[in-house]
Amino acid sequence: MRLFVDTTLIVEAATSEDAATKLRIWCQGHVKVTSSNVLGETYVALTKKKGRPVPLMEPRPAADVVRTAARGHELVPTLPEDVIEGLRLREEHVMGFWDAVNCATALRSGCDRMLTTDLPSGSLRRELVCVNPLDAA
Amino acid sequence: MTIRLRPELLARVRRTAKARDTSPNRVVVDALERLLGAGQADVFTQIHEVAQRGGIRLPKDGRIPFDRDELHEDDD
Repeated sequence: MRLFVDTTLIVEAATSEDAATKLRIWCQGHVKVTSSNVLGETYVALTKKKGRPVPLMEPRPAADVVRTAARGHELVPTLPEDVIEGLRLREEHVMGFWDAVNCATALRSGCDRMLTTDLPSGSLRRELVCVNPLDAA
Repeated sequence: MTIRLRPELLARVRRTAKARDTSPNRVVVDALERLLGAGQADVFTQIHEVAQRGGIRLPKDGRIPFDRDELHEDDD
């Protein structure tokens, strides 16, 4: 299977050993795919303060995390057509714009599963199923 | 060990190394390890280890508030 790995899971792996272990087991033997948009979101999620006195990480080590994620995945770009398809997905499903763009990238790059903690589990389209591997048995 | 690459592949390796801010050797080693599945810990284990070495600070309640739309707003 081709698994699209979403931002939330990369951040979870960074913060939690338990999450990293669950992801390792879940993804074993499958192709792990992620996108340029996910890498960007990961960097911002790690370095933005978001109301906290300090961010989760300083910029330089956060960049190391992003580079590590980039090396360990098949990287696909986020393309203009993903934005257009994302808008269509938003009309079909209740989801945020950037969630929809990431799902569109996953669909275009031939992924079977969208691994995320941010969307309800279940079929998005016949060819793409959303799964939260941290909840899965 | 010496690996000879075709010129067009070598050019691609150099471009990738520049884009990733790393060495061409690192790009080739990473690609081989990914291809052969050897020598490297799983990516999620690596991400965790790199983050811990980089001093990631966990929120006191252990929960990471995640608002994807907020990620695309201007920096605070």
